Amino acid sequence: MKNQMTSRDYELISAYLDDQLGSKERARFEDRLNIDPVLRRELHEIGKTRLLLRGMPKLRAPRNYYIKPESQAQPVVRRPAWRFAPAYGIVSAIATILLVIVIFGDKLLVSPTQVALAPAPERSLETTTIQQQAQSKTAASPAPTEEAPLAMMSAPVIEETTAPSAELSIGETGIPTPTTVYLYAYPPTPTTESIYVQGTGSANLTCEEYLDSGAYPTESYVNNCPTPTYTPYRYLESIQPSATPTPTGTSTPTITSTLTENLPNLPPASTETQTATPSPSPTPTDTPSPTPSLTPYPTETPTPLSDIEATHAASAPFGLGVASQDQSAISPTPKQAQVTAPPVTSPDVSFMRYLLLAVEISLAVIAVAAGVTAIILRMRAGR
Amino acid sequence: MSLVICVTISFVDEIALIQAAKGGDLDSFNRLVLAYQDMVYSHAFRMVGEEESADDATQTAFSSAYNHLSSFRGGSFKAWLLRIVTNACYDELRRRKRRPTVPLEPADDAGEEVESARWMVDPADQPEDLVARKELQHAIQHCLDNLPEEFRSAVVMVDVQGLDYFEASQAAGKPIGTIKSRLARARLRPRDCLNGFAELLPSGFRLE
Repeated sequence: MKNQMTSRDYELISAYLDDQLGSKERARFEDRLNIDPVLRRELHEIGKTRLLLRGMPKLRAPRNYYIKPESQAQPVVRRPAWRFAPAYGIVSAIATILLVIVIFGDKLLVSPTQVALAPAPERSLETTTIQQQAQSKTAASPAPTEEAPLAMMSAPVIEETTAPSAELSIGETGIPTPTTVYLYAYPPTPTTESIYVQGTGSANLTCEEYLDSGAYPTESYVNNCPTPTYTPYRYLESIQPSATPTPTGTSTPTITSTLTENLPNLPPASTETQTATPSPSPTPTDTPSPTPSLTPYPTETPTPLSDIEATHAASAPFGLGVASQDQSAISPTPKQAQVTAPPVTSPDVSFMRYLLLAVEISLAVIAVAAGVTAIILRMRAGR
Repeated sequence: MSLVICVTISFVDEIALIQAAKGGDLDSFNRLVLAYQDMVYSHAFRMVGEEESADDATQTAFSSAYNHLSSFRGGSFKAWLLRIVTNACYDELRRRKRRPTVPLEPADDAGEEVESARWMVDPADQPEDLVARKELQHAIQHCLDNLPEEFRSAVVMVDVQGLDYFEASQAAGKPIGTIKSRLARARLRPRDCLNGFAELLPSGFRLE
């Protein structure tokens, strides 16, 4: 028999008096009452207290508590601004999510933009047209033409209708020249010239080995080795985005090599000079520049690009470019098949940057303002 | 003295009056006031133990109920009103604690508590049994006043107002288990308190 009553026992007593126990619990409690006199005594005393409390008379109101019309402090209907407190919270959350999307989308857009700026279908069409032209010219041209490799498909092609330079005009006479130049079409000519490697003083490497090593070009390499044709230096590959569509960086050495092969009678120097005309970007030279411009943004695309495009559009109403041009009127210089500049449809990145910045700022302001408003409204509503 | 009107309304009428009052019909709300003002005032008096404070709490409760009637989502209107008046009583008790006026346990010159204080005695010349009954009510009210506020509201809702556990949980905004626990403790303490007023208790209600 237990002599010590617990709080659970008093809860059972109270619930038993109010008839709030279940049938099993009530039977178990009554069994305990039969064997536990302390529990029976507590039940009796608490029962009497309960009857005393319930016997208290109901009081009458001393007056009527009417609500008078002039005493209405607030309207019955809740103020609309308070009802919209959840809506402000939702707006704040949505604005925050959009802000995050815009910020991360901006970061993701930076690198793909360089590739996406050049529309692939146009390049493919132009390249295909150029290939067809090249095949049609094969009979007249002794220069070998090969099918463009896949790497060529992504290489931009510049078409220029401006007058060729004097050197090529002179060299053109009597020489059937190819009309198509493929980028990266031919591997660099292996050279057996040894170059002096700085630092070691004794090691002799071929130009190809040096190129493969990916080391920074030394002065002896620059002076002795030809321009690599298929790829920039390895150290540039690590920092330069792939398939840069600008007509300046990667395309220039290719033209040099191709021209050298296709136009054996032309001095290489003259061909190199012409490749530099369409672009104000780092001028391609005979030797690879150790610090080529890697800026891929079309904002740096020169204004002649629009001229090129305008000319291109005028001469090729169906967008076929070289295919519709009169080959006889075109100077047989490599320029007519040179690397194409990015299309003028490329967006103005500076404008896009400002637009993105404005959108980000707007979303941030909306998120903060709506969130603060929601918090204030909830606090005023007393929730 | 103003005429106090007591009105009883059916459950269907109550719903119609509440809907009309939500639409801005003040007369409908005042009919609800007439139906519940005794209950609200009685609850307020048992909670605060003073007529003036109970009057203020009752007026505040009805004004608050009218202003927040749109927040009533159905269920027991009585429990919803009791919740409002209970909160008004809590505010009144806190205000009284900040500015105490009359001590509930008066002491004599020797510093000892006076059980049958002067304010507990009805000044009117009444028959002896009536005086004894009033003193008993004062004694019970005195024991209620000594309870913590949460326990007091539970025992007043269930034992004085006659709410069941579900309605009491709605009125207090607490789970039923909490109401059970508070009610058991609230009934235990007045038992000990009422032992001090054994001479006031009826013979059958004297505690051992």
